[in-house]
Amino acid sequence: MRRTLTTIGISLGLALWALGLPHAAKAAEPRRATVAVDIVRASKTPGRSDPRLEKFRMQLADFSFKKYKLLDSRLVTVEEKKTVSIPLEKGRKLRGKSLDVTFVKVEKDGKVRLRLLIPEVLDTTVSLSLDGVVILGGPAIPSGKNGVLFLPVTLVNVSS
Amino acid sequence: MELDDLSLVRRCQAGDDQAFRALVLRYQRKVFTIAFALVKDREEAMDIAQDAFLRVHQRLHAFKGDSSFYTWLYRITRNLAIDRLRARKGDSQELDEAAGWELERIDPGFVSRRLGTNPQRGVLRKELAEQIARALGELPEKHREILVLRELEGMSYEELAQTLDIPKGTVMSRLFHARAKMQAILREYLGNEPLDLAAGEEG
Amino acid sequence: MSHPIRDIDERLSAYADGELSPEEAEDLRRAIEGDPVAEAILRDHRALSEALRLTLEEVGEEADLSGFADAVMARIEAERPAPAKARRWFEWRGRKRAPIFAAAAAALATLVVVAVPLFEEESARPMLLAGDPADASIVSMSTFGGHGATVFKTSEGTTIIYVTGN
Repeated sequence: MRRTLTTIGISLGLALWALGLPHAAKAAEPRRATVAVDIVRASKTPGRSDPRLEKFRMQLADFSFKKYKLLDSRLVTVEEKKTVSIPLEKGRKLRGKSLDVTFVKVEKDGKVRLRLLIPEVLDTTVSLSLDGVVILGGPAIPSGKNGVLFLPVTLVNVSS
Repeated sequence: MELDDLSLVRRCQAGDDQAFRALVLRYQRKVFTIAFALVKDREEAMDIAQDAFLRVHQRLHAFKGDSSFYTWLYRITRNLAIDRLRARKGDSQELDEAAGWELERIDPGFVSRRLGTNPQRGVLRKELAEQIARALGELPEKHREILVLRELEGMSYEELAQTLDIPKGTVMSRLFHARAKMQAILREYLGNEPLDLAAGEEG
Repeated sequence: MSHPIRDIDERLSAYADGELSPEEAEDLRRAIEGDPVAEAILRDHRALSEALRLTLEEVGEEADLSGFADAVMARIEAERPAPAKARRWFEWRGRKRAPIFAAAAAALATLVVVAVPLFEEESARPMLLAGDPADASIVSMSTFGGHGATVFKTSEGTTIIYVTGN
């Protein structure tokens, strides 16, 4: 992925204006963040990885996992101050086995603050720009299968 | 190894710009030709083609893969072209297949005599191509569109029905009317031309 | 001389396209057998199709699209939102040249969490590291009970919060 860093200048100004300033007409309308969450299972037993995960696998080369499988991909929209719960195992609603995404707020510099919660495991708050990504790794597979999960969380969009 | 559309789309969705560029290169000519066939203006067709790819890129995350990528790209292109046509003037060239003009079949065999029926021949004389392009331009956009999709894209009736979102019966009748009209127009052009401009062989 | 259009003409058009079912095609063939008008019409259809195809191909061939892809990619780039400067609470700098390095974990604490009902939108195509690794920072981090957390960076700089102690 090649991404040229552009000068901040006008683009940032416009982005800030779009995201940051309270707009009288839109004050009533809650802001929404669109977040993509992928659920990847990593295991140490050798095997063929999903070809879509090739780039992912190469970046995680220093971990000792041999095989990666994409379990699910979700695109969720969450209102400011609200929380969305994503089950970590597709189709199952096992108590506590979820990733809870809370849209905390939009920061002054336009980045979006998200709280990411895996109950009884991890509670972290991150700050993402549009297209920014953070990976939560290591939670056990809910069904007890061997291996661990990796959850890339990407901020796709923010609407005002 | 060349990747299929869906693999390229998935790579695009994962942020691979080169994959998107590959899709642009793969379809730029088709998109331009369709845009041109609809709006009949090269500059506008270029704009529309660019806009279409941009829009596709913006909406990639929402593409689910349940229709083919090209169908989706085509629809976006077509909508942009139609918007452009509407913005130009009150374009009232839409002709209802059922109503309107009386079709008379004039001199069956004329068109094939003038255009030639040899399928091996892959060359069309420049003047003839120009006449055909002009005649195409005179058709209502609905007819132009379906002819382009059928003849340039080689779409089956099934695919045409899906792409244009019309019943298969309508595809059949619309194509028929488009061709009949096209032949009538060509008859007007070519009927007045001296015989030596005809690229066809005697039928 | 002009002939009236019959319903058969529509079917002739479809027949020339190869779109009639085998039965319909057979019926039609029988109906037009020895009919010079129908055969002339078929020839017209085929000639027109061929001429149209060649003309349209030429339209496409003639267009100068040499800079087109570049122009599209440039517009895409121009319309991307510019990344804001990262405000980092934890600054990680590589001390060695290995692609991954570990930083000390943040303070451990115990927290209670409650899961909230689902609010999902749609199943997406994977994003999978689509984003810019520079555009993420950790504001705070805590783990439960026996779990620990370490922060890594992948070879392209993507932040991984890795929990241990399962």
